[in-house]
Amino acid sequence: MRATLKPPSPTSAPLVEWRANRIEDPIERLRFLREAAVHSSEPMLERRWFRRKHLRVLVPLALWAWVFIPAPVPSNVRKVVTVVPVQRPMPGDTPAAAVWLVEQNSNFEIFSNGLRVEKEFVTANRARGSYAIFRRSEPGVTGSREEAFDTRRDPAGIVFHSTESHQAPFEPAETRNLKRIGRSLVEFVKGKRAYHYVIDRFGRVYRVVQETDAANHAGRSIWSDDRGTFVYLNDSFLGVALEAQTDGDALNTAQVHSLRVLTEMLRSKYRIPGYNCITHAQVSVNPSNHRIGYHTDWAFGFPFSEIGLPDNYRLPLASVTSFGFESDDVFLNAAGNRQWPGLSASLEQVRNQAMAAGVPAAEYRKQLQQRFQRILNSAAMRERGEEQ
Amino acid sequence: MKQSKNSGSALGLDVGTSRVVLAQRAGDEYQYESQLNAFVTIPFSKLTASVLEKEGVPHTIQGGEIIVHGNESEKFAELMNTEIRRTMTRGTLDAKEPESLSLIRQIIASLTGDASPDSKICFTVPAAPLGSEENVTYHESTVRQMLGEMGYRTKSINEGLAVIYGELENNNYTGIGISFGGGLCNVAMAYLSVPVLSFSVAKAGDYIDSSAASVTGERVNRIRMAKEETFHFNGFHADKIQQVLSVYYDEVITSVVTGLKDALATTRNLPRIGKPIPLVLSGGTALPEGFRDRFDKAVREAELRVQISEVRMAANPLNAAAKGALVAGLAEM
Repeated sequence: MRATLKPPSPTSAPLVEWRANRIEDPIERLRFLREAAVHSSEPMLERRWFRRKHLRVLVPLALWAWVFIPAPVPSNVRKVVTVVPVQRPMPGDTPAAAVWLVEQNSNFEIFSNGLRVEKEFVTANRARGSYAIFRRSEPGVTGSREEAFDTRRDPAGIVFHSTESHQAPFEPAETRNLKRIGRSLVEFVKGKRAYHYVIDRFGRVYRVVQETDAANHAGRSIWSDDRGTFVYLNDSFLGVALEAQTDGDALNTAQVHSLRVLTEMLRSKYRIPGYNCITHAQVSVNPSNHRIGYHTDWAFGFPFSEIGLPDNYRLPLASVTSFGFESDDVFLNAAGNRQWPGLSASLEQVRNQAMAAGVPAAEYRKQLQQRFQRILNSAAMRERGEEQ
Repeated sequence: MKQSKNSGSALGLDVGTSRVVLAQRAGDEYQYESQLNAFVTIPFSKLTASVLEKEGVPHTIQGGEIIVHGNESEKFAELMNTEIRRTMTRGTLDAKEPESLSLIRQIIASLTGDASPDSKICFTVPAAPLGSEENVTYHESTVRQMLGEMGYRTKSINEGLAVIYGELENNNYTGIGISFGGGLCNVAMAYLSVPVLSFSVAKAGDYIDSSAASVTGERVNRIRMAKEETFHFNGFHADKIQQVLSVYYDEVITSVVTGLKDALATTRNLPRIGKPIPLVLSGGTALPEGFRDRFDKAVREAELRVQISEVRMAANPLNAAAKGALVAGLAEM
């Protein structure tokens, strides 16, 4: 068989190998190596003069730069006045314990931590393609880039939702009603391809949209972690919904238990960091008025600690710090008139950045909002810009 | 109807002369299922048909015959004192076997189930045999078309390269992978996942079986069972079948090592790897005890153009190519 790709040259191979060795997942590692081979096969490298005179010097230099140097600022992006670099606190993450599939048939799956997933309502949706990750470049560091700098396929996190559906009293006499409501709810979710999982009032975990597909759960949304910024999370995050109302009674014990074991399983399966397990209210935005919290489910009261997660209400919001979105009274009211520590810190941070830049806060936010608009305008994001 | 096993993720399919193996991923685990790529025909009777139906034995009724295919075919061949028939020969679809297309389709369908929307499958294809005019285009196109008609988006991968992708992740997919199958031995070498060379040798398990059968006068089925159940390399065989098997095994090993040596010697632009590379063996024909040692000795004596760090068996010799096809599908589809 004639090889159509070229292996890296002897000078660049050690760096390619070094970088490949840092990739734990064999699939990702192969993907990286194949991409490196594609780069090696690019026409410019075929040119004899180029290869002879410069390759031995330029390839190692280029690879060194590719590995160590952040991407440069495009010339057409207006550089924001230098301010103090933004520090995004990422609390130390505790990896999820190993959870594995123990038994399965066409009706259910049972996992080693006791999780039982019902498969009666499983349905397909649009397959999850590779999704873009944008540079987490709060202005003032070195400028901003609108291009995606990386793509991934596996889920990067979990967004927790509440169904905000009708709640019958949780008492024995209502069992029949509770079952009927729960069932019709899951059927509704299936029809809308709205979430990957639904946990009903009895703590039963239903898989609805299969994990390999995107669910329509967080269309207009933003989150970021230490790797970068995710925009419109239907592809990049899994959606888990609880049959509950945010401002209703707290979740019952069965639901909390199920949510805990389901979260453990998903975190173990996809190596999801705890700080990427967040609520819909934390990620939802309204691009038309640049306000956060277009959806307000779990704007408060989500039991992070009870399901083995850090208090992620403390995390800053990329929608605010990177893209200039604002909070308003409507959202504050939905959040029970309590502002999360992360939201307060994010708003404060933007004010400080504006002050350091010597521009009014409104002007500063406008610059950030323009960056978000440029991202939305890119073709890739238009494809993913489906309304929930 | 069997439910689809494909939930939008990719499947890996090793389409071998002897067996068809399906690989799929469940979380971090790989799961495998296989079927013999063989069939046997028995005369039709209502009683036989109803017994097969009752016992869940995969079969089809065609004209005045019942065709039993897949894993049960070997058992029925033994019962009926007849030879099993194959849908493929020497690594590719057997154009002389009129039932090959419909039967291999049924065998594959029994493993994969129905395709769901956006189902993807990566299947193995052999390399062209050394010194042969044959090519694999017809085989590859036919399998691709068949899977396409079943609803899959397809990709093919060289079988030897699939062994590398399935087994050499810790070496950054650098090394030599060999699949000792029924019809062919497929050999590939890759450097940092990029295939550098590949070829096949048309002497493999079936060659050993048929050659030994003609020398001993035994039926091929019996030779095959003796090979799979009792044969091992220990240098001394009191049984004539074992002696003959040993001779033909050595011939296969010699052919592969010679082919590898020649291919390495004649490949232009072989990358300078700068360190010894591993060589991994897979496939049902490589299973007898002592095979690895015998192959290792032959490789050391051959003084190949590249240094070999180790000759080792695949962790799962029967499933390595299917796993590699799955890995390629997940990474590239």
